[in-house]
Amino acid sequence: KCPEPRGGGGVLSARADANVCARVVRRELGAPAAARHHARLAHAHFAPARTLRLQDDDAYFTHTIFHPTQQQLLAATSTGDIKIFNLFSGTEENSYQVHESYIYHMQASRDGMLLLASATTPWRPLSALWNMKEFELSFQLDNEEYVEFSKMTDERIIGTKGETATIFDTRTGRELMTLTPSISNQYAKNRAVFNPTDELVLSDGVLWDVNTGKEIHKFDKLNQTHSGVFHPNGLEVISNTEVWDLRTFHLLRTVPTLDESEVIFSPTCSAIYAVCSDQDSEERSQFDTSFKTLDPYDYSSIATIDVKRNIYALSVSRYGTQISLVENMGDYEQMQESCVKVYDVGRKRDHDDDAEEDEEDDIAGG
Amino acid sequence: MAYHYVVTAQKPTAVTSCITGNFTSPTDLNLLVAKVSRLEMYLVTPEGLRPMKEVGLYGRVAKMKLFRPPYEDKDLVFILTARYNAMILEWRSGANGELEVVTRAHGNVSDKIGKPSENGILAVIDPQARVIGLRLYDGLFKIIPLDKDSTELKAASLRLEELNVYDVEFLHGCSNPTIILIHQDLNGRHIKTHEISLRDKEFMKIPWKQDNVETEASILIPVPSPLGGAIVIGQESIVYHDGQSYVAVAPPQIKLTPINCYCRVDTRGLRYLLGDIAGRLFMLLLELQDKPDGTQAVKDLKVELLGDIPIPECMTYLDNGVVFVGSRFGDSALVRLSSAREDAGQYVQPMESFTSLAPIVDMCVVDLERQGQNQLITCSGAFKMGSLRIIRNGIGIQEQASIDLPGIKGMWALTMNTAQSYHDTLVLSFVGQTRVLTLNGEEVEETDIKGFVSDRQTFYTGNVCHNQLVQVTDEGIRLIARGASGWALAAEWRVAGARGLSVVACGDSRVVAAAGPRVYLVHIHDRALELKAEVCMEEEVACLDLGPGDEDALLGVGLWTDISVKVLKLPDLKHMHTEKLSGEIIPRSLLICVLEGVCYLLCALGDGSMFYFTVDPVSGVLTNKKKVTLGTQPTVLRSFRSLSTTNIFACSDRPTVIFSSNHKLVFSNVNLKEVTHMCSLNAQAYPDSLALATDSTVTIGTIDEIQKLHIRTVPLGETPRRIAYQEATQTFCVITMRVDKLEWSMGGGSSAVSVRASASTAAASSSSATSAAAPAPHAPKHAPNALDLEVHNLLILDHHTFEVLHALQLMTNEFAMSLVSCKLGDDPNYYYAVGTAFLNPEESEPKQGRILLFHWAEGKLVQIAEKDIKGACYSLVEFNGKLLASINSTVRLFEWTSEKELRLECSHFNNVVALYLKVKGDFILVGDLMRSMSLLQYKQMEGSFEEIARDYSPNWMTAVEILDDDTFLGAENSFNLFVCQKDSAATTDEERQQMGYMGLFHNGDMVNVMRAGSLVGQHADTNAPVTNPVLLATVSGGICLVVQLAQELYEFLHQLEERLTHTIKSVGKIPHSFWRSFNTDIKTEPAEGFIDGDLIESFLDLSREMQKETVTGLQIDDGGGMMREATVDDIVKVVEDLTRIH
Repeated sequence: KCPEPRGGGGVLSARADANVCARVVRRELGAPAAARHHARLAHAHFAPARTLRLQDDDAYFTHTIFHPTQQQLLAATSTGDIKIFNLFSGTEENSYQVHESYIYHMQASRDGMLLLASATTPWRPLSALWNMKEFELSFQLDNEEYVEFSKMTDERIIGTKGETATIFDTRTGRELMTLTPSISNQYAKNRAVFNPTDELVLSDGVLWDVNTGKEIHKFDKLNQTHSGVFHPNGLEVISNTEVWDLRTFHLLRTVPTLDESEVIFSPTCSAIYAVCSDQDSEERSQFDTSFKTLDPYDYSSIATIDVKRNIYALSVSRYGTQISLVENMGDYEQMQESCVKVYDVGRKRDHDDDAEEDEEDDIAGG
Repeated sequence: MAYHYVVTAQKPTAVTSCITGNFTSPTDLNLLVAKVSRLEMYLVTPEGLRPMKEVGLYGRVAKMKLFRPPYEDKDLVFILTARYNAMILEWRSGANGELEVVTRAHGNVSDKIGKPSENGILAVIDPQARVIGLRLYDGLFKIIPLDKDSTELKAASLRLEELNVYDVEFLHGCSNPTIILIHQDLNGRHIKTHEISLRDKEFMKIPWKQDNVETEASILIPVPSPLGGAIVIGQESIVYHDGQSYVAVAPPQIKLTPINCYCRVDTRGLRYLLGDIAGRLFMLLLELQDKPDGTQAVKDLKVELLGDIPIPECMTYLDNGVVFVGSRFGDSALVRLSSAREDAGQYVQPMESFTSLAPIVDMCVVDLERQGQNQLITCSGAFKMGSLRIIRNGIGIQEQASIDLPGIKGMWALTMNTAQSYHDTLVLSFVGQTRVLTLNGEEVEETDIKGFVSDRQTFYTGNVCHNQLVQVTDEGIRLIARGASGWALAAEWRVAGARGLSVVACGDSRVVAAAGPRVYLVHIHDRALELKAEVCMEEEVACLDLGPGDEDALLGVGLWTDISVKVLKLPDLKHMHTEKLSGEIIPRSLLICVLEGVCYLLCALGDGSMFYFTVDPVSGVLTNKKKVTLGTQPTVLRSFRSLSTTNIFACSDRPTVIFSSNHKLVFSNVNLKEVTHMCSLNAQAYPDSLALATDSTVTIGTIDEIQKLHIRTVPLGETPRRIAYQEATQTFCVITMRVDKLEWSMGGGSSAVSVRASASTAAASSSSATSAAAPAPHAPKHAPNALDLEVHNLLILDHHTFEVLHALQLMTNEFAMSLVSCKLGDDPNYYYAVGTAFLNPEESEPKQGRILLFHWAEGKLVQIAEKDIKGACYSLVEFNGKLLASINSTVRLFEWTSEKELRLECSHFNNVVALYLKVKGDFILVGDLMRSMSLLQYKQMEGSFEEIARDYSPNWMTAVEILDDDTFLGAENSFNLFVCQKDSAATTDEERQQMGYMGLFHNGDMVNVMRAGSLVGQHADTNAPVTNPVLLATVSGGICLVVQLAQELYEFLHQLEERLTHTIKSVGKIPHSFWRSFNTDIKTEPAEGFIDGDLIESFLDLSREMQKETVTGLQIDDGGGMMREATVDDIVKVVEDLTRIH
């Protein structure tokens, strides 16, 4: 076998140093920006910045997102409320009853004007589009289990109902297109998504051309749960542990770390967050107490962060500098503790520093 | 609110790309050099490179390639910017013969989504100019078909199966455009070719490929027809492959360091020059053999080491063995290849060097000569090209000789031996006497000239027509001619009346002199003087000067009492024009001269200020009145010639050289404390010199090239990283990094061997840092033969000579990261504090480091204290007599105890990596690796830090500075600047804690260091009302200045800026607003809060008509609060004032 490439020997070779200190030294001399390595450093540490709790004990948090334009955090509850917290003060600024039951997904439009929320009621799923100003209902999307906006603009909404994907016009609520696979893959958690250019849709393991409404390809079904998401680079599809080449439909790689995980990309696509939170499951153990970060370039693991509570949801702030987690203790019937925790990305936990300081003080004192 | 003005004081100097071709005409051989966002066109002449035109681009040049379409008789240039603006440019002579850059076609070729390739942008052009190929995003290859008439560049995307592409080229001699590429997959690196169908815009087939080439192969060189094929350059091997057969060699010379650029020498493509990252030049030769079918094939490849060159970024072969080597790490150069080895064992001879400050890693602003004018000492260059640069705004005089002679009132150089053209005599006048010095080689001796009066003060003497001399004293004018018996008085004209002559001006054949209010014009004939005209002015004459021309020359006269300047015209001293100067200070010196074809009248006053006008040579009317302050004492104006241009020397307590550049007067300081009188001197031993008189001495010296910024180089031969100045010990301390080869011996031990002599190995004395708790050197598991080892040193340099007095070597794997000169607590000593980090390449962050305190005294460097820290000390600052350090993610304050120990007082933890610290009073500005800036306050009573405010956007900082108590300047790694402000008066905590953006600007270059201060002396107070200057230095060797503006001026300039964006047509049609918009990978926002000074200053380069067009309708404050329509002159004045701040 040939020897491994040996770093080029060049002091400013494209291969960046693993050590941030060496990268800073090289950067001053004009070495290419080692953004990927810096991002790896940042996404290895998360320091708690704020904890938000509910006033009443009957409900618990179910989902959370950052407001796209304001310094606010939106948190949804098991009783169908959406609470708005000020990120600076941590105070609850507003609370709106938007649904009657467990809200398990929210998405805000880029301009912060509209909000999509999905809830389960005992009798039927329900999604709706809300005007964020006063939380007036724009329109309801009955029976849609999961809805999200298109990727390039917020002009369209794609909803999922079992194996069927439906595209709606955001302005009017009019149904534009329905995509039902000829042979269903029966994924347990199908979520229809647009690709980064809004030309393709992936739903139930099937790739669709949005312009023609025709099926392009059906990916092999290698898991029971996740139909898959598009990588923001537009070249790959991630379905559970499998990464497919969107152009050749070949399997590019298998990433065991992503098993059973929801995949969330940071806004600059500098990190993948993977969190296992199977809310449809009856078993409590399905809630993981940790989330993982991966390098979106080669899917290598960066870190696993254990928060010691069940993670119900994870969201990333507009520029990726903070994340928020819904962390719950207990189960559906008897929730012991529920909170939304905000973490600073890249900052080390204070107690690490404190320990360091104590140690230093000891040295200084001695 | 806060308003800022950013302007370039020194353009970027790093060469990023260079090409040779016939650009300006089919017969001109040109060199085109790209320096980040500037393009410089040169003409290649037998005498060297001649600059032809320099243009700025609204973008960073990512790729620059030349091509020649079949219908053209000269070469065109394709440029792609880092923000994906593509353009095709032509250099063409316009109607007035001026060279202009024409944008033939342009377009943006970016995609909304796509993964920008980690290996950077690749751009190639088909050798037959059919198509341009671009690799911008992984998995896509873009093609731009080249059509003759298309003005829009539109790219079509082709799906490229190979994701990880290292290099791509077009092959020669293919019927369809065919690319060859090096790509990497899980199995290694391979080369592959793709044929492109231009009609279908897709890849057709793969003519050939070769799997598993060398693992480090990264450069492809296409070989011209008829051979065709390509050369693949690897780390250890070079392969020629043409699809059918291949030849591979593994020359031992190239093993040590990777090849990073090449250029083709001959059009047949048999010889190539290769440059490696150590700055060595190789020749690659293709040896041919005849094949049975009559064609030729490559038989062998030969590689020969030619010699040392600057570390190349790019190279291009000009002609006749001359190569231009462009560098990012120091001076670029023109070298000549000789056929025979020179003495030094080299085939390479340096011809010309092009100064480059890049990369500027650190700098300090000091007033070394205590003249109220700052100098900038930069850590410039890297590796073998590392140096310190001393940058001064102004002109240096190199002293050649000096004579102690106090009380000089005037000084002139004469040629007594009229057979030759050199000056051989210096006449010095004093109160009541005149002395004559003969210059005999370097000897100076006192002598007499017969016919000269020596017991009076001379007002003027000089060589005049008919080989005569003239001497003017208060008595009158004496004409001295050479007779048979040597020099003797030939004629004399005595002034009538009680008043003696006091001021005089002299031409070749006439003298103008004034006694009191009376002005006399005396003609000089052969051995005779004749009074031609005489006028009486209203007031006494204070100063006068004769303009150029003969019979109808203009005479400028400055008057006492009514403080006015009059213009008279010869021969009858007719009054032409009167100009009242405001104020009560009398004019002291007046000069009329022509600079770059424009006639100026300059009049210096007794308080060091000066008015200047342009003079109409016919009517004598003075226009464009401007005022500038040169010094604080009466100023004497003298003209002199340097390198065939006329310049003006203003003698005062702040000597200044005035010269014309681009038809603008430029004022440049001189590095002398004071000059009372001066004259040009062109003696045999002192050619092209100046004689300068101070209160006590006469100095003979040569003058630097007349330019605005003067740069002196102190070569170090290793990378300087940080610099600090310590006035108390008269030293500089510099941190340097030297790359040694670590050699592992058989026994398992190792020793570092320095590769070449450099500052730290050649120091007068040296020592090594030791530590009680030194970590064991980290031995690699599989030791290669020779490993690069970075050795960090501390150099102590003399502040005058820049001689390295001492070098201290830090420990193995110890990086010196920060440096400060400080005085701590009650300790009277000044110390150099150094912050270090122990680097383990396998860790993501350093876990150990040290803060070391050194004292330099009596030629010895003594370590006073050592403090172990848990990370890298990125920054050190003296803060309230304590030492403030940023260590990994923390900011920590150490106090200096009476036991001479550093004791931790308090810490702050809210960063990812706290890279930069700046302090003001109790406030600390922290620049983070990725979390922008935050402001801390030190609470003295509690002994703790409090975070006052923070910018919550993710900016990846490269430098920060405090502008004023509330305003902070930051630079980030996507080449943007921004200004944040804290709002202490805000009503809510939320608003107070959050810094607001007051300015966003795309600077186009990465700022490494910011320092408060400016290069212009405080005395040169221009009228531009700007405050809080900060100097910025960049990776590309540029220096910028940021200043604060008043709101009114900002708004006015903003309007002007807006108009200029319409007047000035940008190269490649990139909008100015696009270029200056704040652009990172997460957001793009329009520029705000900053005025683009470079654009504003370009107003002065416009033609008068375009200036007029630009200012039409612009309103200006008339000074009293009333708005009126601005004239071109109003704007010129405002802009000229702004040009003088840097």
